[in-house]
Amino acid sequence: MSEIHNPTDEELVREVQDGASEAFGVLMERYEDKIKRYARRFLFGYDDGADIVQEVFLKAYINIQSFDAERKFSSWLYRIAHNEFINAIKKKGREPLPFFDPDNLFPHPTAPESADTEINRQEITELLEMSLDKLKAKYREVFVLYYFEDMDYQEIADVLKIPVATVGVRLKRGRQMMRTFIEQM
Amino acid sequence: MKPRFSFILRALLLISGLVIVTLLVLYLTSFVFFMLRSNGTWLAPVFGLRGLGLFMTSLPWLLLLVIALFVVVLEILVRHFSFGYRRPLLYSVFGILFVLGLTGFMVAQTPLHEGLWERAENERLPLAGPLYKGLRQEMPDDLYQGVVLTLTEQGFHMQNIDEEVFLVEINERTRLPFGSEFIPGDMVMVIGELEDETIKAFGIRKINYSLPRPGFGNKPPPGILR
Repeated sequence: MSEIHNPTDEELVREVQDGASEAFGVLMERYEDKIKRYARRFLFGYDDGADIVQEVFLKAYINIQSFDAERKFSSWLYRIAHNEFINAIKKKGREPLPFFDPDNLFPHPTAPESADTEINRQEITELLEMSLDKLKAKYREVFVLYYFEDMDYQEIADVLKIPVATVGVRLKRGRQMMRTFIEQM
Repeated sequence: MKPRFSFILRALLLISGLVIVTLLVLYLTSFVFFMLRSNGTWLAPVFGLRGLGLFMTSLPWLLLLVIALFVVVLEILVRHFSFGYRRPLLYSVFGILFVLGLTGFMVAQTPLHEGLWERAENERLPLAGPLYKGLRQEMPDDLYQGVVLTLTEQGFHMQNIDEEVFLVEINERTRLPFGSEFIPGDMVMVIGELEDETIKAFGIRKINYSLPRPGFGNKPPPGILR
């Protein structure tokens, strides 16, 4: 009995790059819900979230030839989503987005990847659902990618194009902010 | 779907930009090292605070500003690559400065700039010519170089590149960090104030013949030939 080969994302991208456009449909099926979830949690109060997600996939399809199939497709797609979401926030002008973040400037040796226990992680995820909208965009995004999209520091750094240590710093600061919100509740 | 070649073209442009900016900034950095070496400014700090002051005021600040701008451009280009953005900005900036400083210093030791300088003097360097021709004018005030001609009771006579002869006056306050024994033919650098044809020396040190300096190149200074 022959096994059904389930192609990886990168194999599917290679097919699309070689002209098999229908393979992109499979990729969309795999990632549509994830990107929608990412948008819902990152873009609070934006009615046009679904349109933005469509735009993400459209951009991904237009630029698919630029993807290096040796790298991870999910990081590349999330990177496009990140850019689209940031553009949406900028257009609406509801949240301040600093042009330069000093966290990217200095090394942060005291922010290694924390080993959250499953219970701890679950608690934080539940608390996050309640207080995510109170966090600034730069902290919110890291939280969503880490706790809801299960990315590690390295992947988040690749999506946001920030230093790996900055990911740790933002998570640490975000947790402190959440603690403050909860105490005030 | 955008065709693949448009992305390849963009990547090539990015890499070409990176290479061009790197070469340009490396050339300018090595030129600064060469300039400081050739006019003797980089030896000035051995004379203490006054020498350090002279060194600071003699630095080619405009050129350094241009280099700083190129470093910013280089940093922006480098951050397109994962080895650039994964590390803090400070690391990559210091990395660029370190590599630039080291390679610039090494390039300054090669005959590259001396050759270009010679070409500029012979009107055979159209673009960078003014940069090299300006080297002579960039000699800092209060800093003199030349060859010891004759020893006197107060000090010695020194002839500079323009074949002008000065009396270098040594007194008890003159700093002589590398000794006070000068003989005719020695090439020296003098820091001091010029009054008429006498330089009241604040500091004197011997310098190496092999160092290029405005007009002397690597050839023996004219004083020795006479």
